[in-house]
Amino acid sequence: MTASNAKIINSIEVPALARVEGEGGLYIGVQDGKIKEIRVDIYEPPRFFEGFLRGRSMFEVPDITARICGICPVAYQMSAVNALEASQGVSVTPAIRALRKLLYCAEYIESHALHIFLLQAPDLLGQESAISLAAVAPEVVTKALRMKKVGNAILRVIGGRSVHPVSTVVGGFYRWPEKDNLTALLPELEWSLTAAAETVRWATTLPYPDLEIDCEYVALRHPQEYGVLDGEVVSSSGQKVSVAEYEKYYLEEHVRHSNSLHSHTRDGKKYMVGPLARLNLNSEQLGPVAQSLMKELKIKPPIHNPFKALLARTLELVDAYADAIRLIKGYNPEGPSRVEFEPKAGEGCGASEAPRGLLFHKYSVDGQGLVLKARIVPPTSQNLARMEADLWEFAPKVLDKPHEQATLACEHLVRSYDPCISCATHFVRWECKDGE
Amino acid sequence: MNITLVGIGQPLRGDDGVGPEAVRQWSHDQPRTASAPNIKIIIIETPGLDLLDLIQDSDVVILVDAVDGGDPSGTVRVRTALPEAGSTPAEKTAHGFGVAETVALAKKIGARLPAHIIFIGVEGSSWKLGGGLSDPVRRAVPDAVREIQNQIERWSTG
Repeated sequence: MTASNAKIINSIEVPALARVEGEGGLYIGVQDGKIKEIRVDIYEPPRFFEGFLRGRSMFEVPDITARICGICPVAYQMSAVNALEASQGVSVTPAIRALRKLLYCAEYIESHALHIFLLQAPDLLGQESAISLAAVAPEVVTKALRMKKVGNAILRVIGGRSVHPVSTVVGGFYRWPEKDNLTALLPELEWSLTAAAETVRWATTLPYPDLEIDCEYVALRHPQEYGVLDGEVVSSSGQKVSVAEYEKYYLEEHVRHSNSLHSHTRDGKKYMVGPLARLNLNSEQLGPVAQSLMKELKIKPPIHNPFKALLARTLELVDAYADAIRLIKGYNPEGPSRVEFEPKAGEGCGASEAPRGLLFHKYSVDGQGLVLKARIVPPTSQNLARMEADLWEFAPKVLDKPHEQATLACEHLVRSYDPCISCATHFVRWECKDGE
Repeated sequence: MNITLVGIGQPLRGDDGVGPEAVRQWSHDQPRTASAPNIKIIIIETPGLDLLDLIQDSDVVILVDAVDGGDPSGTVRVRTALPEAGSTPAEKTAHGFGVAETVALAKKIGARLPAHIIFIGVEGSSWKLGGGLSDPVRRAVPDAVREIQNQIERWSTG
């Protein structure tokens, strides 16, 4: 990619988008100073896992879907067990649900700490990568790694290992983790909670690019808590539907230039899922520490700048540490760690809020508990159309900048969604050509 | 010397599974050495930055991973210097943090690292989902296993 500052920009190209999971390219074509085309190209055959799951036992599903993403395996496990338990008419006990929430907190900690400090902060601080950020601000990176590490530790205690946890099963957990192993993590969680509160303060001082886009936001909402593990699907349009009705209201379609399906609402709107959507819809349900920070720093959702998803992540990070502390203090495993049941034929839908946004699963199983059909709608697929729409708003604002700066700014916008393109289509290439 | 042997890669993604496969095969062939108290064996799919936590306390770490470096498929190379950060294909890393990037980041912040990091790379060619190892890579597994044994012998006595 070459940058010619003297030349009028006729295209913006990002041959290999850095700091996103997967690989992709972004093409923005410009003619006579006007944007003519914005394209996200995706080549990898999508939905591999949906086919791969067919014929497998439902009890294998959580471990297989966990492999879709190295960053959010818990999300894939939780949406899968929610859907499969719905297909079997199984409800888990409050103790199992609480441990699932703790496992999810660990994933938010790992994923958000990584994205805030090492994936998006370099953009906001004018650094090309986390490695160059580490050279100029090693203390920021050291803090990030420490904050992330306690998430790994929780995953290891509950999940058996830190990358692809293996303890989750349809109906609960294979075993209860030892209480002592969890309580040993409390001092580090307390330190991290304080560090996370500082992170929110720091995040309010960052130089976000100007962009206001009032789009439709979609997230799960739970009646008693900030929706992560389960809930109803709510939208900023006021619509509220059950997870079982999700497919009727949120549709996917093939678009000519992409192998990945693009999502829209039933009335054709491109919507956003993820931390900003959750914050904008459910901020009043964040815990007391996050609430007091919002008050102190005058953070008043809704926030309509997609770059500020980082700020939403910092508040969710505070909430994840605070919730993990609460859940570990209250952890008192009693009774079986798993609800036993005989498999029967059925169909069920399940969703949870992955760090990147709403993750929907649907399964049909036969009388032996073998998967007949699987459907997975990842958050990044739902956001792809929104990313392109945002670029249509944002790219004209940066066209007068030097080519390299304009390219970086557009890349930054896509990165602020924390796209996990591997989840969406599993290996994506964003390819760009010079404009005609 | 405390030695950590790490097989990195995703068996569901074609040749990316060669690291775990070679480490498993070596453990099967050398059960006594593999269970020695100074040797830790880790099989991991996409460690990203978590690799640091896994290797930090070792004197020697031997990483076995698939590479996409332009050699003929199945070529096995042993390196004591990691490739430049940014030169490994992004799709096989967790959010851009491959082995080279992770070690580069650790060096920049002065994090503790093993004194010796040995990288056994097996050139892959097929990264198809669900594809399993390609024939040239499958045929190269014994070579990779031999290199693991060479390195273990070298560092166990050193």
